[in-house]
Amino acid sequence: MIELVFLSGFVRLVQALALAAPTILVSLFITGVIRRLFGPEVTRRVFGGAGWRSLVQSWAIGMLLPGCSLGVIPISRELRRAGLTGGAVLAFALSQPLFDPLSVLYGLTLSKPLVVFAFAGCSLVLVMAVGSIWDWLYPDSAAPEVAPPPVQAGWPRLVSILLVVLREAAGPSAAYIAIGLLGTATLGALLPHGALQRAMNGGDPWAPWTMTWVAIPAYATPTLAMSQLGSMFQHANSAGAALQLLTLGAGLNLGLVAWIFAAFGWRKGVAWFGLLVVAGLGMAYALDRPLHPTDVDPADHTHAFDIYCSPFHAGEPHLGLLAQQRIREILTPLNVVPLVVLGGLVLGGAVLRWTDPRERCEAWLESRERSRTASRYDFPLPAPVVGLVVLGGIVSLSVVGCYAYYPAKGEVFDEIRAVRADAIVAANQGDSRLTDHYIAVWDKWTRRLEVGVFLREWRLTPYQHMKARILREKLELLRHEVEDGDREAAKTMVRQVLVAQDRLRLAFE
Amino acid sequence: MRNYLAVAGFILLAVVLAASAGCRRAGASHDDHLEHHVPPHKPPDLRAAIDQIDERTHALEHAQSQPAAEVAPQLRELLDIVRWLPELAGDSDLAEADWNQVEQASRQMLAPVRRAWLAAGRGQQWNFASLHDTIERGLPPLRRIAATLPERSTADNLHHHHAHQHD
Repeated sequence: MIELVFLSGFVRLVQALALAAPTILVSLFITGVIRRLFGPEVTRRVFGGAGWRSLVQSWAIGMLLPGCSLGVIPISRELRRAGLTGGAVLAFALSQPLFDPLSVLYGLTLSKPLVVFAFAGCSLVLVMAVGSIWDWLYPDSAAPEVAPPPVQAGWPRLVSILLVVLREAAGPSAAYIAIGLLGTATLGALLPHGALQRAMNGGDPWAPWTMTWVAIPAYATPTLAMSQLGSMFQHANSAGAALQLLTLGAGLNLGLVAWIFAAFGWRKGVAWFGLLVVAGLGMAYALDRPLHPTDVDPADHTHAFDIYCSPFHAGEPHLGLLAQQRIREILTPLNVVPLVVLGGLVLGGAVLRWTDPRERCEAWLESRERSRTASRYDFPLPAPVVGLVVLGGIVSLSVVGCYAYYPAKGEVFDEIRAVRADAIVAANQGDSRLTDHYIAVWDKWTRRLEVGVFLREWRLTPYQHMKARILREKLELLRHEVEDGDREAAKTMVRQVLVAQDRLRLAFE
Repeated sequence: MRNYLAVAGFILLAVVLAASAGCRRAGASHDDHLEHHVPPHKPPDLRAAIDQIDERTHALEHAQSQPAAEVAPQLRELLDIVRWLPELAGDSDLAEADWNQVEQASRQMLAPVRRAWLAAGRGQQWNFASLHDTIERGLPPLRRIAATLPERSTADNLHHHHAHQHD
């Protein structure tokens, strides 16, 4: 039992860390840019200063920047240092992890893409309502710190950004990120396998309530949350729970909540948390019925939240080997690179903090002559200009990155061909775990196919969307037949899946 | 210090609440099956769907004298079958142009059936004539399209109720 609990928690911890590493890296870099290039004054101007305008601007910037609820911690700490009001900082902290260009595009594959925009609107209302009330209750919540002196343009300025990144990577932000990761690991350790499969059924009045308390410790990237929303709407699960999943699952984690309590004090923290839960639940129950999909045949379960429960069945033998296998599946080369870079930054940051606790490196950089004459072709740009270009570049890169994440249809069909072989072999052998894994990958490629075609051709016909939807439904049924252990039914389903796959290919040719 | 104690207390509370929410659900559903429910009135293919729409529309003609509330479930099932037409047509070798026609016919038929179902559900008089006219106009082109499809192999028809046990 102890082995099951420990290994379940460990696998979920590694999984969450692998998902979070790229966005944490981007966020650390953004933190360095805000500190060293923007400075407090420009930061306050970019984020709208004070009042309702700052709430809307913080929400809008948060929506544009790629990130997640763990990565937003160092940025939020920096915004607070810059003197933004508590409401604006919290608006940014809640909204930045909700959407990014990748996840919004993923939302196009939902049965009703309009839902994504409805949810984005709901998050704005939530952020505005909670932020305004909170700012009204606590008008003195801004706590600006003394701005660091500017640094000479050129390599000293770049090094100063790197030093911010290193110190944050091994500083308090790292501790809060670790709390967030432990929250999701604890959830995986405590919740039995599949414990949430029926907790979010459409029409279940408890679904939004249950989701609230699961979503807070759970960690989800915007794209993961969007794929879970897709699964919820495909199964006609509770729309209110789906909204809570997005606002609290993608928007919050225990690390972020821990930072809010530590930074603003327990009274203000409790007030904010209470407002968020009450307003969020109110909105979820109000929208549960109007947003419920009426054109979908309801299933009485969903696999979308299996990722928050134990990955192993109770009593399963060879747990150590299974855990190793799971971790190998998670640590693909694409996932390992950001993890190694992040590990290097944490190590480098720890060494820097240990060898230079008084920030003498920064003081030396700040003391360098700033008024040196520029050469003809090397003129110094004002730091805020460079900062804005960098932030604009990050947003542009994330848009360009969409084309890499959602490749052309030829590449997608090559990928599907490879995963199809693995999935069919696993299904024919009755290996439920492997079938589950490969079908999830196959399902994702069908969604990436739809978005990739839309990005390149600016249209996706209802016929193509229907073919992709039918294949996904058949994949889901195949998964169930293999889980049931019904070999004959599984074989019939395999035939149907292959036919549906051929039809999908023909529809996109 | 008090802030950090509050943080620790909150974390403990959130984890306990989350775990208890999940475990409560797990306990409630431990002994029964998870179902991917396919309604019993869902036809296996496009041809069967067209036949059922025809039959059910004729049956409704005789049900006009019945109390509206009793007819509402029949109208709901007819609404479902009309709604499933694009999906059933999509699960075949129909070309895009033919599928588009099926989808358009489904949309045209949905409106009067939905109006009739909503009225009957409220116990009000429902309009059979409008429903009948739209369906009578929509079915012949659908039959022509369905006739181009091969007969469905019975070996590939799975039972309609997928249920599976989870630990």
